[in-house]
Amino acid sequence: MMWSSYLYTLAWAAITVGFIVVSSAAVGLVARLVARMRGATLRQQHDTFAGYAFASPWIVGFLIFVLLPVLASVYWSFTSYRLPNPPQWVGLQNYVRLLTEDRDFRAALVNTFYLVVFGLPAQMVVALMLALLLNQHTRGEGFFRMAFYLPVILGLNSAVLLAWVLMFNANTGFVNVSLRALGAKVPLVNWLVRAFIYVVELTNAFFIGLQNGNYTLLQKILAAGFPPPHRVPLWLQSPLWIKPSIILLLVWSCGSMMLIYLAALNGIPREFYEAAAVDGATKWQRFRHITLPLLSPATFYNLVVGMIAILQLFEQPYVLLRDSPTVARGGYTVVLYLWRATFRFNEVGYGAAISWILTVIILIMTLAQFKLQDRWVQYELR
Amino acid sequence: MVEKAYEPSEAELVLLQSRRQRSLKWQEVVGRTGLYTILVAGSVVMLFPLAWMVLTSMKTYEEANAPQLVWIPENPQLTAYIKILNDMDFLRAYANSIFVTLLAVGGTLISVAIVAYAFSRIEWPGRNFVFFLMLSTMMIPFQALIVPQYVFFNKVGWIGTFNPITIPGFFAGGAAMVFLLRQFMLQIPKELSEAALIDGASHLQIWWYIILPLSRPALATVSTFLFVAHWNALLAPLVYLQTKSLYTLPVYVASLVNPQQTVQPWPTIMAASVLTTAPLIIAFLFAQRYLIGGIVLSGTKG
Amino acid sequence: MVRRIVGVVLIFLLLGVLVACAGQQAATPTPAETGGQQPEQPTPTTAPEPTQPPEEPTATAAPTEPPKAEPVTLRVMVVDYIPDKTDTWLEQEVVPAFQKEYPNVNVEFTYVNWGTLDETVQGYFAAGEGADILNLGSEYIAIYGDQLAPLNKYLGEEAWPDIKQFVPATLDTVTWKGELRGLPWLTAPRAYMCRVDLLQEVGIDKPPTTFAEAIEEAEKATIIEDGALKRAGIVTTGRLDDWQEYIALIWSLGGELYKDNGEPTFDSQEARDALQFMYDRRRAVYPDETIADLPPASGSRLADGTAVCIWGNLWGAPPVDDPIWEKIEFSPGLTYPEKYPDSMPVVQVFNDWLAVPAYSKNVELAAEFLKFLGSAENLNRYNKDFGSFPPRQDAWTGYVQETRPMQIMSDLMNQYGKGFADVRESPKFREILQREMSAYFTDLQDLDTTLENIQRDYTQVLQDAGWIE
Repeated sequence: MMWSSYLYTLAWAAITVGFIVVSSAAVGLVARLVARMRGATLRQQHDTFAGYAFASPWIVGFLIFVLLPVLASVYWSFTSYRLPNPPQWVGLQNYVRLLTEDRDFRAALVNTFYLVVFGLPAQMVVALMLALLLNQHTRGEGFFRMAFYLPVILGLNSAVLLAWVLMFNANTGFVNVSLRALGAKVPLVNWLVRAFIYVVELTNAFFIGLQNGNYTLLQKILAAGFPPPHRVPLWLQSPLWIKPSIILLLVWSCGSMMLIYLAALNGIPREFYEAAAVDGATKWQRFRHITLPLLSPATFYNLVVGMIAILQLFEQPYVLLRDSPTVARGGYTVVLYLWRATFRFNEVGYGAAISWILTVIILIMTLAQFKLQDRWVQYELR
Repeated sequence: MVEKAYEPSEAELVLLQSRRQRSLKWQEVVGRTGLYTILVAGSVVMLFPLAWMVLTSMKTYEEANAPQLVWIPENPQLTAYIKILNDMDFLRAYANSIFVTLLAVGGTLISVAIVAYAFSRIEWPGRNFVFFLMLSTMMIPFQALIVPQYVFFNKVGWIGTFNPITIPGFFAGGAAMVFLLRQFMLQIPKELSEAALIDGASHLQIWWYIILPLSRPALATVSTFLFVAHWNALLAPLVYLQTKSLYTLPVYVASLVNPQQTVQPWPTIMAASVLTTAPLIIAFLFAQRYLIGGIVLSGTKG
Repeated sequence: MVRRIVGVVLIFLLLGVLVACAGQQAATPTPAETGGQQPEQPTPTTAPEPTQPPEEPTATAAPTEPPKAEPVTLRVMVVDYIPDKTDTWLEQEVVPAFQKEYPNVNVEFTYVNWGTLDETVQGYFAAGEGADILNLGSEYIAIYGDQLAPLNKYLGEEAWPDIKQFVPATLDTVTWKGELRGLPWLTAPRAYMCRVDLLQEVGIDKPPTTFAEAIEEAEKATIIEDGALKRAGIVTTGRLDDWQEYIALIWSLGGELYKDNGEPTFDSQEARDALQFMYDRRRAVYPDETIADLPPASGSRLADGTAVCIWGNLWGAPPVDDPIWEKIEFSPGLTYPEKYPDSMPVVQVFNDWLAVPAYSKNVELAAEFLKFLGSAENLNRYNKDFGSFPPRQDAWTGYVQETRPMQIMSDLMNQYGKGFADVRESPKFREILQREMSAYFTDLQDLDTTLENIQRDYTQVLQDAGWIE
């Protein structure tokens, strides 16, 4: 009983391997034939065969698992397709509805945009700070590096995310209980927490206003003024706090960005600093004029990779919000919404349209990054 | 490069150094203490969710759901572990996760190594085009493909089997991994394979006897990445598996929370979480070195 | 590098547009065409018979076919279960007993929750494969009716006389186009339940029965400390934005959900007053939206005293034989006599049931299992754990007659009961209500916008699904 599902997949794995071998040989042979007709030397023919044969697992996989699905899904995005019924051509209707009528989609877009605008810089700043700390070559560097990187490994695991759900409980969760306890002992902490609450709620109310087209909530918060001493963040409870909770998780797992920075820091020659020190540059000046510019390629890499990752965010909002439909809209990301539309409401055409809008956004933003990089990314000190 | 307008002599440097050391000594001490404080505090914050998982898993149900937060369980107990280890569905999910991860990682690793070889060690017409095609697929979000792939797998009757989350990997799934390995293989001196080619070795032989052994660190990196990715995967298993007997760990653990219940069995859930993350942590401790090298390799070249 | 990527992308887009244009007439490009012949797939979990692979390379790679498996597996998807209670009962008692009659039948359970039920069921129907028995909610017949197997042949009066014992109203919720599509398995009425001892502490002597009393109760009984809720005057099954309670309140004011032409009625006065009341009551519990919610419950909220009143079924209440019931009183529902003199309390009755989907290859066997599960004894045993009523009358024995909460609930149900049915396109409707109501309750939007949004979005959903022209 139990083994049959394993055996079934193992059998298919064997078949797949056979298929790959045969198709690789076929692709290689065809390539060699073409090369021969073009009059390539024997060595070139040999390399052509080997090259295509070795690359063909990817080429074949690309055709089956990427190109065909892409073509199919572009077509479906112009249809109304509710499985198991066949797709029906509806022209641009899905796109029009998404961009003009669907308020959930607009909410998802604004949320994703918010996470990029606030989450990404937060992640990068913390990553840079951690990298600078580690770069002091302290004792136990290996341990600290491990501790800072471990959340990356665990960060997407739903089991760990559930631990966060527990810790985020607004009333008796670990986070708020500690904030309360600390705030009661140290007045400064209490004051800082309240200031933090004020800033977060104001910015979030502004963004919610952007989604809804009215700013009543923002006015309400402004009218209420600075939060009273007993206030705590309402992490997963309030629509104002959903996105900050997700950002906290993003910052928590900024380890790979940190490693990129660390590597770049290691690559900066010591002489630069020594020379600057001799010239009498202060620590800050050295950081500002040597470290930061020389880190810009790493910053660029983190920016592009981090941005794509946030645009495709799924696991965190899924696990954090799955069971609280009341705040879900505040945390919808584009991918989460795509998933709901497709698999919850069984609308393949609509889901396909969402995925293409997302792809276009990612392309535009990535290309824009590449275009802008000449302005600020320095590969050498000027 | 910075223009070095002024080069202090050796003697001047020594003088400077010693003067600064004297005046900065106490500052140094304070600085170091501060540094360690921050580092330790940072690690505590980073590792805290893990500690909380372990602590909660050893609480009683009453403690875990108490109206006042219980920090440390009064009588730490392993009841939750005994319970979850007697849960056949959990054990099944564990076995499923191991099976899926091993198969997918194995298949992907071998095919990725083959393809990376083609992109780094063989000259063939169209190589650059295919390579850039591959890089550009990295920008298509994988979620954009999941809808049509679902329909496709549905048509071939693969929904409700492990196939959709294992078999596609056999086709060098993951352009980033190919890229990483390619970067590594490019660094291996060309002469090694040239000599072998002249001796009449085939590319398959060179790949197996020369390149693969030399690429071991990079292969370790790639397999760790793949392991982590497959062990954590939530979306694809959620969509394709559909039957509890096929669930992998992340799906099963997420399903332990039942919003209809007013009381959640948090200790059991957290015990399951600890057991779920344990292999990740162990793998990470062993492969730490390689992982870090891999990230740096993929990040600094390109 | 950038230019290359742009080039590749352009090619992609161009191809896409071409396909999109060509595809208008052409059939869908199905990747499956490479898949060789693919007859009915055997359930992979039971009989591994891989179909012929595409371009099968070597005969040796194919696995040897296992001997034809005799045993049949019946898959059952369950959403109404209590972990470690009803699930173990099903697996360890019901199934072995069933297997005495059908030794070659294996029964496998999948448990889902209400949050994931819809997507799971959608997935099954989309794939045309999945569980053979589906646990559905009260209002689901209108969504899936056509996709469920007609069962009169197996469960009708001639085939199975027991069916006469079932309460007719519960059979209505499982009937579609004159055919039974499943079997009811639990009946759960919802009402208000309050701890009178706690009410008396704040000077109230009985559970509220009108809107005004409910608001007064919520305000007086709530305790807030340090910006966090310590005790809530009222908690409903979800939170204070329960969409099902909203429907119950509309009904109790005499309102309906649909007009004669099929349009929804969220532009009506009843819908407005009911929602306004829910908002006011929420403000009575949470003076503003900065109050932290109740901590996780350590049992029923009525038992641990973190809530003074709850609205819901007995599932969220203490076990029916708990002594705490001596301190708990009921209210069937809330009315608004000042404005609606005719308003009557409504006790919503949920009839959850087990359906057999049309794609199932074991319809007859599934029906046999339903009959087995639907015996008076089994239904009594199962519903006891839930504090719900067995849907067949001859099962109303034991705890149903002997415990006070069950007696009161059955009286209330007889007097004020209204089935939670005829709720059209309920998954999407629920989504809309939850989204808009929570936006209103957390001050993201006002009452007018909320009602407008519900009316417009729900109209659209009903149009898309063909309920209105």
